[in-house]
Amino acid sequence: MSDYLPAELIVEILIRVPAKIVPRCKCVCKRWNSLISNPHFATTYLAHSKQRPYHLFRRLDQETGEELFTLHPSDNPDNPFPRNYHLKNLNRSDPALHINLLRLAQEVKDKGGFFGCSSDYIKLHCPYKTRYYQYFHQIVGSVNGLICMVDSYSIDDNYYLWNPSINRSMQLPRPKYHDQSRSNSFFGFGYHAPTDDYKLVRLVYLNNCNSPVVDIYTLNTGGWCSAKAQPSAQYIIDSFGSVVVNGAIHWLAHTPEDAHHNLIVSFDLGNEGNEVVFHEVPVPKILEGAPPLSMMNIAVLNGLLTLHGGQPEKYVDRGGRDDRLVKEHAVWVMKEYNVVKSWTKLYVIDVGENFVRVVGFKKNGELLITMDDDKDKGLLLYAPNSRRGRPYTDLYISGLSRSFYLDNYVESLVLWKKNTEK
Amino acid sequence: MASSSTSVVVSNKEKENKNTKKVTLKSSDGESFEVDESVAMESQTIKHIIEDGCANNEIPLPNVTSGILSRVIEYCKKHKEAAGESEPSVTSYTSNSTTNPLTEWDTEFVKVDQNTLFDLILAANYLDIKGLLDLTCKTVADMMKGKTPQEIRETFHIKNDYTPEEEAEVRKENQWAFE
Repeated sequence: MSDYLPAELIVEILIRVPAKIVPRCKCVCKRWNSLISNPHFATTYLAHSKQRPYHLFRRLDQETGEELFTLHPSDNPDNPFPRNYHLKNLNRSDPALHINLLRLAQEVKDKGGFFGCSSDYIKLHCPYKTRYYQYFHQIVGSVNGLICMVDSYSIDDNYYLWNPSINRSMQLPRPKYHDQSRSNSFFGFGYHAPTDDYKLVRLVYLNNCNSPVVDIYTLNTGGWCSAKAQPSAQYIIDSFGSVVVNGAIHWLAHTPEDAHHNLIVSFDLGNEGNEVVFHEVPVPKILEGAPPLSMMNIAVLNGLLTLHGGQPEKYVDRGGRDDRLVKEHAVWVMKEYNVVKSWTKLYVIDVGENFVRVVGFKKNGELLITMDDDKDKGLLLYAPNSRRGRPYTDLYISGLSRSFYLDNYVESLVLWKKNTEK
Repeated sequence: MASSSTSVVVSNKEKENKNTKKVTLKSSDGESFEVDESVAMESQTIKHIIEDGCANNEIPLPNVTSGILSRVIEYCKKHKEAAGESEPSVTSYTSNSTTNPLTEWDTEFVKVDQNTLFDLILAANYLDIKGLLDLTCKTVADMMKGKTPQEIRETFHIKNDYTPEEEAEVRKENQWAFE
């Protein structure tokens, strides 16, 4: 074969080989070794795998305390967790259809739900366990096949990078210790194209200071450096997570009390040196004033900045009690980056008071959500603007609701050549 | 559906066939194949030749033998047909998770001997037919799953040009990939 096909076609074949088999191909012959060792190969590989994306899902099994990661193909807009996956083989002309539907639903539940009945996923083996049983990692983000996780259940955090497609991982060194006895850390993880580098950014708020210390880890140097933000960068971060859009990490925040307004704070991944700069991106005008958007979260939908969750009612003075009244749960999308007028409310999430959060968005427009009530329903499917009787469907996926995590994922060869652990 | 509307559809199709432009493709071993122009244009290479006005109704393809060309034409015909008939996919209780209705046909299409498969890759590349290149390359890539380097060499008749020392070295570097 090697003599028969020109190099470019051997490459066309090799970029379609699953990532974990690529290293094996290096051992086949010198020609393949040289093609794969070429620095352009990893780039070409990634460009192709971006056309075959996956979803990454994480749940904590409450019975075993295990953190379970799975990859789900993304080719069908109904993925992951298609509605009625368990009805695939149903005979629609069956006169006893309705009775059989109920029976099937029970069978599915008994067999362990989606993960017991479907084979449309790949099990991953996470090389790291959290230091406390029944706790799960904070997944900062995933880009180009690299997942960044933090185990923060101890005095010192543990930071990890993991590429499940080639099963390579590494624990990062710890950053300089700041006196952070009573402070919070916020994280972001992204890829900086100009330097072909991956960066983990940590914001640390020391006591009584609203301008954070910024620690930046870069994969190319393998180390951390600390920087101070500009003095005017006084922000209180509200979103638990962060997203990367236009080469910058974004968090939802508000400015301190006197000048209170809600906003999105952005940190360009190109920031380096001792002084770093934050920029501001506006939230929808109607959400700008008090109270803080602590019931909302930030996401990316089709490359657009997205805000979702409980929109607060204005503060209601109930004799000193600060009630967190939620006006409605909605999903907003910023159609043009940094243009406040382009914020568009896509829809309202109408499932009643027990709504907790959006876990993820499916390409077909449906949402994966969790609710909070007596029976822990697990992961639910919600169809916005649906005219169905009951707006959400049980997916029979069990686990600790707080642990559900969904993100996009692509196979890659990143971390292959790093001096890593297995 | 009323029968009158069915007959309207049939006669429209007949009109279509009368008006379809044909083009002749000539293989390296001198055989001529007449195909609908729209089918031939599944190949970007042929599409450019036709659009540049260089067609003259017969297009010579010196890099493709008749055996391979007939298969390529079969692929293009089938995929062109399917593209014409496709409706927006409806998620029903009985639908599969893949949205490509030709998956089964494609799988059968590539059940050929290795030499033919490689010739199809070369032809798909030369004729610039993205879907066929993707299908054929993916088929070869899939043949490597679960195989050791030696098994990969045997499958594709590749000569091992490593010395034992060199091979041990490369293997050691990538040992973790064998676990």
